[in-house]
Amino acid sequence: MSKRQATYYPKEVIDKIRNVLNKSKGMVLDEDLLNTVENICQGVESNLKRKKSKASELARNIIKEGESKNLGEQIQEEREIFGNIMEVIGTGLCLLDKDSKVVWANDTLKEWLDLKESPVGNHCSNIYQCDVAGTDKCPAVRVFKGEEGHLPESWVTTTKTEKRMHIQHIAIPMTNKEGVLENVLLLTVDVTKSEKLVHRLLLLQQFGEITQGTLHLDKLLHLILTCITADYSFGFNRAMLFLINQELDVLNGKLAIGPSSLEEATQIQAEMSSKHDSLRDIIDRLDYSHNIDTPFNTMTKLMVYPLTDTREVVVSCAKGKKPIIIKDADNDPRVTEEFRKSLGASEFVCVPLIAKNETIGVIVADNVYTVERISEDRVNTLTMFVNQAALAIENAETYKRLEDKINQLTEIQERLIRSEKLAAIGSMSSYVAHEIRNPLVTIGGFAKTLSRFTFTDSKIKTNIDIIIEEVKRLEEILNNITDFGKPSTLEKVDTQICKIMEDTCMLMENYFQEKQIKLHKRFEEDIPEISVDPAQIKQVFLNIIMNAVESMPDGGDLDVIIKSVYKSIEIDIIDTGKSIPQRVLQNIFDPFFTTKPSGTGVGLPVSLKIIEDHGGNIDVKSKHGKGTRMSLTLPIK
Amino acid sequence: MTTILLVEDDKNQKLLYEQELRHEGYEVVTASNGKEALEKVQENLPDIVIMDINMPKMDGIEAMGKILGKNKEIPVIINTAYSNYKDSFMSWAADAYIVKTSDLSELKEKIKEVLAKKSKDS
Repeated sequence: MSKRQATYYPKEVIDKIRNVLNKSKGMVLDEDLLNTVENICQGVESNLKRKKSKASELARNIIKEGESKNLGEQIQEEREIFGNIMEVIGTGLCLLDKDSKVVWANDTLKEWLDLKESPVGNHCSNIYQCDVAGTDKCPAVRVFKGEEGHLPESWVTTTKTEKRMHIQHIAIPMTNKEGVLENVLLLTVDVTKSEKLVHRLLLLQQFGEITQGTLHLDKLLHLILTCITADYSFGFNRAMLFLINQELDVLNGKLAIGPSSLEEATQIQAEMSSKHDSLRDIIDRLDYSHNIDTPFNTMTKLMVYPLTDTREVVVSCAKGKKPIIIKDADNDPRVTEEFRKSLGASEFVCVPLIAKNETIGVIVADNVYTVERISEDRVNTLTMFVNQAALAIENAETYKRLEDKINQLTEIQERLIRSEKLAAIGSMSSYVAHEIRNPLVTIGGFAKTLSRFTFTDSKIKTNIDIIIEEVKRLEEILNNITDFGKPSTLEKVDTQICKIMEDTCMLMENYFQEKQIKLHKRFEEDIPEISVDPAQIKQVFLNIIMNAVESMPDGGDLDVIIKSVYKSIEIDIIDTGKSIPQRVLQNIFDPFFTTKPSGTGVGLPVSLKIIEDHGGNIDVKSKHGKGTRMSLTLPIK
Repeated sequence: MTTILLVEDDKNQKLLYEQELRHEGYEVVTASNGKEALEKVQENLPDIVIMDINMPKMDGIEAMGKILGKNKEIPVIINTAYSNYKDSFMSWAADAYIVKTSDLSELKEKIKEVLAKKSKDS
C-alpha cells in the first residue's frame, strides 16, 4: 500500500520532506546536509516533471497508435473484400503497363489461362494465347494509343476442366492522380454461353436449310436426334423420338440416339469434345447403320403408348402440345413407373413435335450421364428447334406417302407390262410353236411309219423308238406353250374350292404314291362357294402341286390347307422339299424361266395369270432346308 | 374304194399322210392349196376331205366354204397345227377339228368315225 502511495504520490513525499526541512531550519545541525536534501528534492521534482510530460506524450502516442491500427485493419478488410470480388467476379483481370508487361493478374485469369506461376513481370504475349500481341490489333495497344480497345473473340482450352471456352478481351484505360495514362486493365470475359446460343441459332438455321432438301424420313429422324445430342449444339446426353401412328391411334417409339451406358458415354464425350463440326459435316458423315443396334434404340422402338392413355407423360405432352420438364421423375405423378424405369433418368424433358397445329410426335431428351440440369432457356431453344423438325418430318412423311403411291403405280404398271409381255410372248411363241410343229409331225409320223417294218438289226428299231419318244416330248412342250398363248375367256361358275382341290388330289393320287409323298389335307369347314373358272383353277392347283412334288424327289410331306381369311379364301400348298434359292425366287413368275431340265417355264406364270384374272394373288415363301410355301388367295365376292 | 382328198401344202407331210392313209386302205388324192383342192373335188368327187388351214393361194377355211357350197354332203376334217381356229365359227362347219401331231391315230380314228356317220345318214 505504501509502495503504491510512494508510486502514485511522489510529490507529497517531497513536500513532507520540505516541511520537515523548513521546521528544522531554526535548529540547524548541518547546513550542507540540508542543501544536499534540497538538491535531491529538486532533482526528483524535475525528474518527475520530465516523466510526466513523457507520460502524457506517451499517452498521446498510445491513442494515436490505436487509431492507425484500426485504419490498417479496415484497409486489410477492404482489400480482402476487393480481392474476393476480383476472384468471384468471373472475369479475368490483368493490369498491364505501357510495355505490355503484366503488373498484376487475378486468380480467375490464371486459372483460365492455365498459368502455374505468377505472370507478373511477363510480357502479355507470353501468357495470352493470342496472335495479336504487340500489333495494332491488340486492345491494350489500341487503348494506349487512345483508341477503343476490345478484341472480339478467341478460343482457349483450359486443361483443368478440359472445357473449351470462348473468351473476349476488353481493355480499359487507367490514369494516375495527375490524369496521365499509366496502365491498362485488361478484362477477359467468358462468352461461351452466349456463343453457344448463337451457335444453336445458327444450327437452327442450318437445320432449316438442310431439312428442306432432306425428304428421306429415316435420314431426317436421325439428323434431328443427332442435333439434339451433339455436344456443341444442344448437348443432351440422349434423345428419343416418338411418332403418332394415326391408323392405330398410338404413339410409337421410332428412334433413339445416345449411349446405352456410362462407359459408352464417357468414350463418346472424349471423342466429341475435340471436334467442332458444322451440321453439314455431320450429315455428310452420318452413318445410319451406326447407333441403330444399341439397346437404347431397340428399347425405344418397342415402346408403344395408346393415345388414350394420358397417364403417360409422352402422351400428355402430345395432347397438351406443350413441353413438359420433369425435374424429379421419382416423385412426379406425371411419370408412370414403367416409363421411369425404361428411361432411368430422374430429370428429362418432353417436347411435342407440332406441324400445322397438329401433334405428330414427341421428343424426349435427358442428361442421364452428366446429370446436368435442364434449364428453361435450353428447353425454349429446343422447342424452337423441334418445331422446325416437326415441319420437316411432316414434309418427309408426305413425300413418303407420295412415294408409296408411286410405288403402287409402278407395281400396277409393271403388272400391265408383264401381261403385255405375256401377250407378246404368247403371239411370238405361238408362231414359233406352229412353225416347229409341222416338221415335228413329219419327223414323228415317218418314224412311226418306219416302226411298222421289221428290221434284222434290233438297233434300228430302238433308234426309231427314241425318235418317236423325243418328238412326242417336243410336242408336249409345244402344247404347253400354245396353251399359254391362247387367249382365255373365264367361264365363271359358283364353285366349292375344296371340291376342286379334292379332284386335283385324286387325279394325282397315283403320282403321290409313286413319289412317296404323304398328303395332308386340312380344309376349313364352311368355306363359301366363290365364282371361278373351275377348269382354270384346277390347272393352277395341278401346276403348283406338281412343282411341290417335283421338289421332293426322295419323298416328303405335302400339306394342303384351305381356310377363309377376311373376305378371301387362302389356299396354302406347303412342301418339305428343296427350297427355292433367293435369286430364283424373284424370277419364278417370269415366263420361260425354269430351273427344271425338262421344264417349259410357263407353269407358274400361267398360274399367276389365272389367279390374277380371278382378282387373287400368289405369295411364295421359301426357306432353306424348310421347303416352300405357296399361298394362293382368292377373293370372296 | 373310199377316196380321200388330202389338202396339204407341206410336201413331206403330204407324203406322210398319203403313205399312212394308203396303208389304211384308202385311195388318196392330194392337193397343195385351196384352189387345187376345188379342182380335185370337181374331178374326183372324194368321199371325205382332209383339209389343212394355213396354205398359200387359198386357205383351208375358204376352200372348205366353197366345197361345202357345192357339195354339202362331203365331210371335211380340219387338220391343222393351230388350235386357235377351233374358236373361229367358220371352222364349226367342219365335221371334225384335229390338231396335228406326229401320232396319226387320232386322225385315222376320226376318218373312220366321220365315214361311218356319213354312211349311216345316207
